[in-house]
Amino acid sequence: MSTKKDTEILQGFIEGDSRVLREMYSKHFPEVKSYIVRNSGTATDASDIFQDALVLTYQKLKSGSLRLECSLATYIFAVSRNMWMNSLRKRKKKVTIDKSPDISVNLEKSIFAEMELQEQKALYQKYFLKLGDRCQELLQHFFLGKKMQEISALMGYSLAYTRKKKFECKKRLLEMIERDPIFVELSSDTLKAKGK
Amino acid sequence: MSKRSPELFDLIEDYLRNELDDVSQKKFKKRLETDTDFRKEFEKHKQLHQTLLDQDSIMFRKKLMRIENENSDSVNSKESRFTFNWKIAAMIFVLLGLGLFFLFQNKSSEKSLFEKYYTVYPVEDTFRGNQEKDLQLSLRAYGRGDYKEAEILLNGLIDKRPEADELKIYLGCTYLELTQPEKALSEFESLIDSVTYSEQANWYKALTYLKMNQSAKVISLLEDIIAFDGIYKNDAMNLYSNLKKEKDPDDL
Repeated sequence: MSTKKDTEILQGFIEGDSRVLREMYSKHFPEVKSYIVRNSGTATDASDIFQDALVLTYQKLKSGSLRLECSLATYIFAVSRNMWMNSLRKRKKKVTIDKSPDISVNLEKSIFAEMELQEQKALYQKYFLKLGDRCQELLQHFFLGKKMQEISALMGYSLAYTRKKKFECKKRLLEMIERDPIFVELSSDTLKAKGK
Repeated sequence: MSKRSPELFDLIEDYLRNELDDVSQKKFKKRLETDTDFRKEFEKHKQLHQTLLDQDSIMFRKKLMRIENENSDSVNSKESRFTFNWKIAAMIFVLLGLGLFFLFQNKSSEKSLFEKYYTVYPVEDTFRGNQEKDLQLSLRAYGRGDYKEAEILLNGLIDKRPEADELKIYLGCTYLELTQPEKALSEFESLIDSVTYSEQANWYKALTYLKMNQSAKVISLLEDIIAFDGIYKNDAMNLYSNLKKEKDPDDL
């Protein structure tokens, strides 16, 4: 990352600047989509993978655990590509490596190491965002460690209703996650790994 | 799987928040070692807590989803402009085909099953007349089909009156009208234990799954509605038979 423009993009990305994110989509998503579609995927697969790759990159940059030695776009392409290869491997499909991004072997290895954990996180996040707004808000307060009394005041609910609603929202969230084929896949992978 | 209950959730959450006393904590750890189902349930809660603690990432993902939607909307509108003439040609072709078809077949055209069975939940008589102003405004917006306005107003009302189950039925239908079936589902599901509205909620939940093309779930819900033997029984039986016919045409 050397040019002023690159630094601005990186800064905007970490800050979640919508203009930078829109630019990411318009400039770099087509390349990822084309790669995934050429390799047994669909446009929807491409959207999911690209979104997960952006979130993973964001998390790593935000936590300071990533030092970029290439451009942000190259890194995101590498993450997308590795995520897709990992997904194909699970589906036992043939992987065609027709485009290798310009990053070091170490960086590529570190991307792979994060993948499983990220897949699980992405699943939980996606379904959380599928809950109704009020459920999201209530659980958000709860996960941030607020007491039920405080949450009921913030939400304008009675304490008893807050407890009931928290249970219902969380139960619903877990049920949605459990029904996703990726969750089943990840669970069986974990079991296999523990069995070894 | 350990049967999910508020007590089970509270116990796991207290452990995760380090709020159990020493004795309960030891008991909890022992159970983790000996009870596989309990451990699995615990792992899910743990993952959920760890993941959702990172609200920054969730907000970031939310932003990406919005941008993706903007993109797909603009692609769709471009595609629809580009394919306009083809669509007209295809429509003429289909209409000609249908005309010929109806010459030989004496079947009436049917709307999709969802359109056939879905009617927006009507504003109940008990709500008409004198009511507080914000309730009146919400129901008026809902009644005249201004669902964007109704969504905002109903959400505001439910915030103030979380016990008002009937408003959740309206909000669920509002979401269906706004083509947001996941949110509709969440509203109807929140009424599962409602004494007065669980039957209505189940019926609209079935219709929501129908809209989402998840017929296995629709069928399972319809079986419950038929067994319940209430006001939706007949509709449920008819829809059930339509779905079964579609699924296994040779069985009927």
